[in-house]
Parts: sequence; C-alpha cells; structure tokens
Amino acid sequence: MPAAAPLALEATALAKRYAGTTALGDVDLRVTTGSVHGLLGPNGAGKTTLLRLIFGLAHPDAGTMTLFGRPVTAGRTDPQLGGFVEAPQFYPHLSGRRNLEMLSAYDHRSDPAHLETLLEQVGLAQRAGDRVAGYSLGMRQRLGIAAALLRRPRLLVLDEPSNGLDPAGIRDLRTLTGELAADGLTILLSSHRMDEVEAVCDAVTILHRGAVAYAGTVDALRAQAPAPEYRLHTADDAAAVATARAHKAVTVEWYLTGGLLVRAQQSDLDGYVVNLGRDGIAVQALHRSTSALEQMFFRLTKADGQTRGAVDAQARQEAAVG
Amino acid sequence: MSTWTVYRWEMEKLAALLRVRLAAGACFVAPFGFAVALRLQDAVPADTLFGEWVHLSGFATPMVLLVFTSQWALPLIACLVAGDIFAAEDRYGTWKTILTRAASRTSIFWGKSLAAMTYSVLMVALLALGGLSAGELLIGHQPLIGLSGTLIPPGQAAGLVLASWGVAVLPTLGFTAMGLLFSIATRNGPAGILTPTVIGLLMQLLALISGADLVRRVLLTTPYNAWFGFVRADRYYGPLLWGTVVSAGYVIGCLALGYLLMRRRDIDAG
Repeated sequence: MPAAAPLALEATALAKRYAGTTALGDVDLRVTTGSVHGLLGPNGAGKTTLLRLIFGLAHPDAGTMTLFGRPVTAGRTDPQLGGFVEAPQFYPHLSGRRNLEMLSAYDHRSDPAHLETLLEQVGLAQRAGDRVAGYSLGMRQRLGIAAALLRRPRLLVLDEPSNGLDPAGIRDLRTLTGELAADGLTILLSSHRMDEVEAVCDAVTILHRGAVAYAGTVDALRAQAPAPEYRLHTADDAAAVATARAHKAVTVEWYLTGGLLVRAQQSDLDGYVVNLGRDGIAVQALHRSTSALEQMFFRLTKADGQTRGAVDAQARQEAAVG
Repeated sequence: MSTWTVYRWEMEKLAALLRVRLAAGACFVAPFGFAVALRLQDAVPADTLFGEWVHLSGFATPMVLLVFTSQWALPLIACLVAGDIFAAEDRYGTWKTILTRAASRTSIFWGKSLAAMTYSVLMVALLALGGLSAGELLIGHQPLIGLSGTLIPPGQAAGLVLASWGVAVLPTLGFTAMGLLFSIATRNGPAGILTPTVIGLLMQLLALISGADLVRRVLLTTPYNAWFGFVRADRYYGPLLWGTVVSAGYVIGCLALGYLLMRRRDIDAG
C-alpha cells in the first residue's frame, strides 16, 4: 500500500461565526504537497473566511490547522505561506517597487535581484517606479502575485487571481501557475471560474453555505458529473430536434432566447453533429455553455438562477472573446 | 528589529503624504503669521499669559503661541497622524497585505505608535522653533518679563521657552495615544482625528467648573499649564511632576487598550 502524500495544509473541523451567523461550520481541508488545489464555492460559501483563517487574519471559533505539519497560530501568518485574500491592496502613494521593498523588509528579507526578477515575471518591470494609485486592477493583481512570491513560500494561496486580468493576462497567469506548480510549489487557488479550476487544479474542495460539499480530485468530480451543455444554432432547428431522436445519449431542448440546448458527452455530440450534416442541416454555431464540472458544481451547491445566469453570461462572454 | 523596520517604513509612508508635509510646513510658518498679526495690531492680548509683553520681547511670542495652541490645536495636530495611522490600513484595505508578512501585530502596533509619537514631537518642535524664530526676527531679542514680574535675560529666556514647549510634549503624547486608540477602535480616520480633539475641548470646559479641583488634576489638558511653575523667580515643579504622571497614565492606558484591541481583532475586512 503506497504511503499517503504529505499534506501541505490540513484543516480539521474549522468553524467561524460572525454575529450569530455561521460563516464556516466543521470544515475539513486537505491540500497535498505539490498539488494545485482548487477552492470553489458560490458567493457567501465561506471561501474568503477560510482563507483568512489560513492566513491567521481571523481567529477560528473551533478546529485546528497545520501547515507542513506545524500548527497555524491565529494572529500570525506562517512564513511558509504566501498569497493574498480578496483583491491585493497596496499603498497608493508609494510606487509598486517601493511597496514590494516594504513588504520584503516586513518579511526580514532583502533580495533586490529576486524582487526585480518577480517584477519582470509578472510584467510590471516597466511600471514598477509608478505610484500604485495609477495602476489598473489587473496591474494590482500582478503586483499581488509578485508580493506573494516575494517571500518564496512553500504554499501559495491565490484568491480569484484572474480578476481584472485581460484574456492575455489570464493566459499568462495560467502559464505562471503551471510553471510554479512544476517547480514543486503547492498552490491553493480560490476561484469562481470553473474553467480556471478545471484547467490548472488536480484536486478541488467545493464549499457551500460554510460546509464542504465536495472534496476530491477534479477527475473524480468530472466522472460523477452529468453531460455538459452546449448551445446549438442550425439552419433548421426543428429538423435538428427531430434528428436528435435517433441519439438516445443526446438531449436537445429549445432554448428560451433562441437556438437549442444540447446535453451530451463529447463522443455522442460528435455523432449527432455528423448526422446533422448528413441530414443537410447546417450547423451555424456550437459552443459549450457549461462544462461537466460546472454542471456538478451547480448540482452540489444547488445554485439559484442568479448564480447560474452569471456563469452563463460569463461563458457567453468568453465564447465571444474566443 | 522588526519594530524598527515597521517604524522606518511608517516614517517613509508619512513623509510621502501631502497632508503631513503641509502640516509640518504650517507648524513652522504659522507662528510667523501669528507674530506679524500681533505686531500689526496696536492692542495686545493682555488677558493671556505673556500677552501684554508681545510688543516688548520676542520671547513672549512663542509663549503666547503655546497658550493659544494648547487650547485645541496641539491635540488636533497630534491626532492628524495618530488618529489615522491605523484607520488608513482599513481605508486602503492593506491590513491583510502587511499582516500576512513576518512582522507581528505587536511590531506593527509599536512601529506605528512610535511613528505617530515621533510626528507629534516633531510638530511641537517645529511650532516652538517657528515661534521662537518669529519672535526673534520680528520683535527682537529683549529680556522676557517672567510670571513673577522679574526680568529674565535673553539666553535664559530662550531656554525657558524651549523647556515650556518641551513640557507641552507630555500631554501632546497623551493625545497622540488617545488618537491611536480611536484610530484602532473606530477604524475611521476622521473619527480618530476629531474624537480626541473634541474630548480635549470638553476637558477645557470641565476645567472651568469651579470646585472641581480633583477632576481638574486628572484632565489631560491640565499638564499643558505645568510650565507655569518654572517661568518665575520662585520656581516650583509640582505641576510638572504631576503632569508627567497624568500624561504617562493616558499614554499607557490608551496604548494598552489599543494594543489589546489590535491583538484580538479579526481582519474580516480591509
């Protein structure tokens, strides 16, 4: 029997209440060393509270935490931990470089060469001398990543790191995350973007109303998931619905705003599309609206229409960009 | 080591703030405006200590300035930085930025507190030097008439002026500590700045109530008058000693409470 992978972070039965409201109740989190672990959950699920407890910014009401085997002390951030909670914030009247120099000094470190390398790595070297007040949201996000890496952490915690980044920035961030993970850094990535988690994470913990709704590998979650959803526009949607009757593994519905909603696994979808062509029905547009992981996420968190709508809107926006 | 690091960076952050630079400039320049105004008017503020001598000795100018500023200006100047130095982290949302580094909450608390205290001492020093320079340049280097009516030679008068302003540092540090406390407790800059100033004004009013000697002795505004005892021929130092005790009491009390609040606080925002 193989030995269990060592844990970078182990939280057991964590609980936190704010003014009579349970933000977290009895939450367990296990992040394996060297993994990229996703933390998912709808707004108010308790992700940020959990991250604040991990950083020692808030005091838990119950539960224990260890980081690489060492107990986490409330009120103090473990030196092996780096990252940010919510949007990274800096002193607006100081330059980006001066902010990093200050944080470096607060970490009792002085490595100007490493600092400059990080500024290059996140694409801020040219603007590092400018005051942070003039930075865009995306630039602050990049500076936040540089600040997180400044202390050479063993566990990097990133909270919605792609917020404010343009598509090129998101691509660069994913590349950087992949490189860091390849170098052996353990990463805990909190995100509301299923595609981000699906693309970079090995394992995922899904929170819902302050409790763990799922914890395990992304592959295992995907295996449990229902078929992904696609939006389909054809030259003759009625005929396309009729064609679908021959495909038992394909479900087709009329979509409220026009076109069709198709639920199918990739191989079944391929067969259906081939048949559409064979029947002379031109496919005008086909794109995925929700992935298998998103479907599973909605099922686990029983998302309301608003959240679902927001994710659909995001998927549409990405399809338009793509 | 860590406290020193935080202190150094807090001083740099303060120096980069426009309002701090303006306050420092105003503390040195305003006494010149005050001296010019006194010189241009025929009447003198005779109901103020040393007020009747402002046209006769340049050393009277910083003393009158001391009496005026200790009414409310010194508490306000002290709290301009102290009342905002912790609340600014809430405003910028930077608590989580600095508290996720190796520097402890204790280091950050003491580094910031020391920076605010340094600023307060510097502002009092600038006011004193500004007042002394303005009096010397615009009125002259004549001997000062002390509170007991005796003439104090210029060299000794300059020393007494600086010593009197030095005494004002003690309650100013008390108000600084109060500003720090309200900055932590309210997490709001304007509240941290104005609350101690209003408390200072209420203390001034309370001191006017007759028969309230015991209360007057423990008010933080009373030590601003502790210099009365040594600008005279028959010197006494009782008020200075008691003023030191009262000021230290406020400093220790406010800092202890502020420290506890900061240690126990959950950074759930900012």
